[in-house]
Amino acid sequence: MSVIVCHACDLAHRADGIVPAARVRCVRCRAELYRTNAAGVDTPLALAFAALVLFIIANAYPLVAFKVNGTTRLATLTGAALGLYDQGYATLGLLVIFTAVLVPLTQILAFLYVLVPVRLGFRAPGQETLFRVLAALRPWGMSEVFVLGAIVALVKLSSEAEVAPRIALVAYGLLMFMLAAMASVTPTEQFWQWISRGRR
Amino acid sequence: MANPVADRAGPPEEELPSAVPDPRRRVRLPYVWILPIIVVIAGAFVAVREKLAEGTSIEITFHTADDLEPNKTKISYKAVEIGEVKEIHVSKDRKEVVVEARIHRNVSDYLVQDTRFWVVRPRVTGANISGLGTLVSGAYIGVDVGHSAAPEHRFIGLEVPPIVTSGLPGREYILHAGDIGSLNIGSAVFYRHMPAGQVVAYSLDPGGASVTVKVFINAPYDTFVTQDTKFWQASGVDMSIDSEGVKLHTESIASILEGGIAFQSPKDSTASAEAAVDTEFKLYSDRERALRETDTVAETFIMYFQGSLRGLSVGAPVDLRGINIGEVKRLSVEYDHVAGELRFPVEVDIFPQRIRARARPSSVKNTDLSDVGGHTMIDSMVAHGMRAALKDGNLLTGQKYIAVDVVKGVARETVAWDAHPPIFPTASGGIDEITDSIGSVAKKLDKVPFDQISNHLIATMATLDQTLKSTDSLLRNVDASIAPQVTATLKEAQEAMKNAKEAMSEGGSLNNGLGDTLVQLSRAAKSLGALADYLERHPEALIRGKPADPP
Amino acid sequence: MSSLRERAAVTGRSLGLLVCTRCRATLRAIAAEEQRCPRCHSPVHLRRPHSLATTTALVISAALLYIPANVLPVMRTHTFFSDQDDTIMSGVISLAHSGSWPVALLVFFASIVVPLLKLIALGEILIAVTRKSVHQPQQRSRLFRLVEYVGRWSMLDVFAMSLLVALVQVQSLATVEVRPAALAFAGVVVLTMLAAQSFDERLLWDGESRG
Repeated sequence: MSVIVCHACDLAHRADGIVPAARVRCVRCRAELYRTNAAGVDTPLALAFAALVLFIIANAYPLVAFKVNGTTRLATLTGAALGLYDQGYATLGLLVIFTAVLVPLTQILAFLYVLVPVRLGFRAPGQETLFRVLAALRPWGMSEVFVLGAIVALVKLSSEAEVAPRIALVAYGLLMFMLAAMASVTPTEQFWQWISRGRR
Repeated sequence: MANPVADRAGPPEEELPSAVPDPRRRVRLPYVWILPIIVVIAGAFVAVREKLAEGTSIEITFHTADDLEPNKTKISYKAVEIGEVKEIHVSKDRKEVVVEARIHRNVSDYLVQDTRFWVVRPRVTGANISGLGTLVSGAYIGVDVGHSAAPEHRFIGLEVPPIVTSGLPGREYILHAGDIGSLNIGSAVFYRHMPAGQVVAYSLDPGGASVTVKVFINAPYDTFVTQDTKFWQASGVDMSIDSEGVKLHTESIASILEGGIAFQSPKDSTASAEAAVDTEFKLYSDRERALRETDTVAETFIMYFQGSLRGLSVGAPVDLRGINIGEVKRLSVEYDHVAGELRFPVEVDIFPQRIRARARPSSVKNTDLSDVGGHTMIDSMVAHGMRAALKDGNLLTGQKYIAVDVVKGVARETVAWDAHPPIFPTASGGIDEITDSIGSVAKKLDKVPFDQISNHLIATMATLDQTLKSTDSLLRNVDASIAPQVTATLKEAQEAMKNAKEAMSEGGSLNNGLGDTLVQLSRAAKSLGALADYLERHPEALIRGKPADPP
Repeated sequence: MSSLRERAAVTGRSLGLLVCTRCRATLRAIAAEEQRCPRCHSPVHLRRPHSLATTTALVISAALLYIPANVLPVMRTHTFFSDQDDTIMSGVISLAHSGSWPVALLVFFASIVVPLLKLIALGEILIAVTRKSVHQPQQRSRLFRLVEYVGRWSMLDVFAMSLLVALVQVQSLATVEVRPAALAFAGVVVLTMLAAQSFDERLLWDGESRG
């Protein structure tokens, strides 16, 4: 393609080949046209595996311990969503589960599904569909918002009783960084390059 | 001027060795893979730690899972959390509820065969309100660790907290009673009004004629239980309104609510050895019955009384001048259809031993010890005029009792020993006395001349009235006539005072004269003073006179 | 840059080129009803269809929900002594009172200011585009991107509440109950996010390029 059209302002640009390891912006509206980085497939792949393990820890163990009157109450991630569901607000429970659990999980799994074949040099079916899924889900992955929300809840409770963050919260915080890192090392153009590399 | 590499002249290509590609595929992972490896190791570490800390799994069966919640209800031993309920499900036969719990590893040696589990909930049982804290903190499972050596992981939970936790010092005894009264599990056992133990269990005896109660007496009270010890039901308030008045007897408020048992050794108890565990005792229905000395001999008599038997109850005492020598056993009605009249036999038990026991040895005429039933003694008493009569014990309640006493002027009678039971002679009762005395009081009251007194009073009042009236008029008089005179007098006095004042003032007639007089007086005083001085120095002058002035 | 402004900007539309919104590939438009991107197979359009209508509808619904979300209580705390209703604002105030006012400020911004700004910004953009009076498209564009990026952070109150609900369930000491306004609040966040997604950013520049 010798022409690149800006997705934000529809301005046409001349493109002479993809610039490696650079961030190319629209001349008029400064929207990012594309970004490439020199890192190989390994980086996002390693990050994705780490993210997967962290995700398992974040869901299997409790996030926060709340001690009042000698009783300790523990909350897990799914437990928090289920709590909303139990109170009759199924929509809210679903929203929390979706944005804090399902989307990150799908992102990690989709990443792995697409990138493992690339790394190992074969082609897997449905990579394009998964890319679309990933692109669509991106604005709905709210793991970092969840971490901040958890902090707010901790602060709110700490004035009443004893609260302590637990292992799952740490894992989830690290997961948040993993996901951000994964996103930053896989810009769209790069992604398609890798996929097309796998096609060969 | 740099020459591009391609233009450099050099040795011909054929002479250059061509690089050999490295056949061995070196799989070199970029450093970034360290990250997931670290994460995996950390995750494994966390997982292993959590698994190890999990503890041992046990199963407890209860009738109901009421108040128990999975992943929430705690298991506590002596208020220390030692585990948590993980899962609850109904048993296969649908009769029980199986609670799966996790006990902390460091206390897994608590799980032995005789360890007991029960649910602590708020419980109100009369004397005992327990578990109120669970209203706030939620129910929990209590534990009593056993002493067995055999480990166990399946337990049958108790539905009710055990009364006695193992290791508590004390002894268990077995009591037999006719009925359970107001006793319950947990009812207190008292020794001299001090809580000394609890009812642990009770059951109906086979045949359903009596009840067996198991009690646990705490140390050190268990040392006071001997073979002779008597146990009685101290439930509620023992209130008896009888001829001796109102008697209120209770062990404690708790026993009023919950029922209780009390025990004590009778005063003349000879056994001193402590009773062994599970010794059996009879549970008496009240204190008096329990501590009463066993009367081995009871003589039954029939007594026929005149008048109504109302107020006489079974158990009413037969009293010989204040000493209880028997009690009423039965009241009934007899209809003599030949004579066409109703008679009311009262069956009484007399305990001759009581009379003898309390008599002074010298006054006992009949020392014939073979007279076990005391017949001779009773005959002698009756011959001396002893009769039984109904007397009021308590005017308030109308309770009656039987008084046996010497009645003057009574016809000769004997005990009818040939009747079965023998008939004891009676005399009329005491209600007449009272009516008499009331009557006399009434008569006296009658004699008081209330009319005259009232008339007199009226007359006095009238006179008083008169007096008051005249006083009133007198005062009015004073006001009218005397008062102006007084005023006049006062006015004159005022005038006189004025004159006096004038006279006294400067230039007033009195003043001058007064002044001269005062001067003269002072002179006189001075000379008197001189005289006194002289006399002081020359007291003889009083007698001799003043010596002539020296020239 | 100035040279660009002087001559009419050449848009992809004028060249008959499309951009795939998903994978940002530049494609040649074909004359067909439904066009798909060859790379990622997602449907492509010159401009997002019904963008204005959808976005307007979403913004209006979100605006309608904003009032109850803030006026009605989102949470009820049952204690032994009383039941206390809390709106988002009262939650902020109680946080400030208990001394943690940085967090209070954070919640205030995220839950009250941000949604309101989103509504106002989107509203203003929509009005401008409808009236075809697009001045300063750069600033509007920046505003739009800010709205797009910041929108998700409003969810933090929802997550905090979910944790509170899960933790504070000590019977008869304190329990937390969710109230309907929480649903309204979540609705505001979700709807504004969807509105930002459904808005075709290129509409802002269409007024200028007229190509």
